Amino acid sequence: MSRVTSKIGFGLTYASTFMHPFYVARLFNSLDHVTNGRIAFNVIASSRPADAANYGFDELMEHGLRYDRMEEFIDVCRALWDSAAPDAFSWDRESGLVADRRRCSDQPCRKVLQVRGPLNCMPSPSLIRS
Amino acid sequence: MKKKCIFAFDISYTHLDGRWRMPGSWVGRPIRTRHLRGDRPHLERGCIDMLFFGDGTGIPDTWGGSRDEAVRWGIGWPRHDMSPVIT
Repeated sequence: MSRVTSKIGFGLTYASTFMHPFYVARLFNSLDHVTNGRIAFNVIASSRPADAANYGFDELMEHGLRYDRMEEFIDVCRALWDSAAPDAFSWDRESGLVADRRRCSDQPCRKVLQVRGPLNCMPSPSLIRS
Repeated sequence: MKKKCIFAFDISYTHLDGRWRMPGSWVGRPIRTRHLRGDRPHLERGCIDMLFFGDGTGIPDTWGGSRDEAVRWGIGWPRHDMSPVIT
């Protein structure tokens, strides 16, 4: 759809309860590049035990824990999207220099979701515009 | 059953390190899949059946036990999720 349109946005849904934030943050970054900044993320916790069964769990994670995880999930995604500053990249053909290491940061430690980072992607159009 | 040979074009990142410096690379241009349209006839005329993309996410630390030089010189980094791009 993004190839034949230029303005409409695309909202996609992933469950923070079952997905890993590095995978999701990287996918959304790439989708944002492809669509020129037209991607939105609907993050859900999932409320059905049937959802949990699809990911190998006998029961759904308890409500409070699901939302704790979601908060951390969003924090991690945001930090990953911000992990490389838009002007960190030089792509200098002459010298071969790509990025300023000091402007591509690792991630702080968190309770549940340990992600080292940085996200291995160029900052995406939505981030640059915001 | 007749056997069929499938030709896959391997555009994994491991083959592409440093290519961004070559003339004609898209450095500094935004990713737009419509830019790929011009390449489509070439691929199909060349009997390519499939585009293959190997992938990974970790930044290599094989040089001096640190990821610093890999980030600085673009070795194994940055690497986007190419699934939305090649499909």
